[in-house]
Amino acid sequence: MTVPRPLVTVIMVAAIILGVIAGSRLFLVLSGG
Amino acid sequence: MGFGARRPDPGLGAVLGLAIGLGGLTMCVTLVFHAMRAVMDVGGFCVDGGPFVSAQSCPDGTAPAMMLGIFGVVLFGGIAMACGSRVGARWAIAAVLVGWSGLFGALGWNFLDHGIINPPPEADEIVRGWLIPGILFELMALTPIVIVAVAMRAGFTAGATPAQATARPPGGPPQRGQALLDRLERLADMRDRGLPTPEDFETAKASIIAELEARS
Repeated sequence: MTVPRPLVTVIMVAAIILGVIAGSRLFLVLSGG
Repeated sequence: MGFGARRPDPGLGAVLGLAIGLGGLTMCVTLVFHAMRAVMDVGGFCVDGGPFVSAQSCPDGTAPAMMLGIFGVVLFGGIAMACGSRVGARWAIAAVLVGWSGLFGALGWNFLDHGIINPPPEADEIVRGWLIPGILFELMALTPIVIVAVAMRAGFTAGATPAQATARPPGGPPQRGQALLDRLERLADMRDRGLPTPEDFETAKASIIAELEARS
């Protein structure tokens, strides 16, 4: 199964945004805030 | 004719691996960013553990966040580069840029923010001790971006030359086109002398024109 190239760009941008959100949430959890 | 070979679409596994790598990479860079910021908020240094009484204890969560963040950058960066090279070279480069430039850009911003924009209350003016590493970190973040941009620009220019050389070798197609035109002229001369029948002439002319159009 293959993924069209324009969709790859959309997936990667979404992954980067989700990564930033997840990192912020994880730090909040670790710091007890 | 034409537009160059289209690269095949990447497989689902490689795309998922790249998404996990890039997402994990940005998550770990964000963790390190917040942990550094928390330490800078308490003055820029902290100590925990050992037999001595610490003058400045570390904010909660900074130690695990740093550990997870730093080792995670290496782990997810490796995954992103490995899978990115299967999706396409530019995605492997993107993984390097997100890891290196993202990390140094974010940490450099912490230095600049605490050094210029929001200096600690006890500092009356710009904190040079944080301004200098801030500028250095931002330069380190920008350097690979500039290098990649220049290389891509040079690559596009250099890539066009061999492609053009392959498509139109010097003297090749023009000579071939000229030969076809000569054939057309000779055919017209023969028609004027009444050698081929009008039907034969039209058939031969259509054949030559089709060959010419196929080359243009």
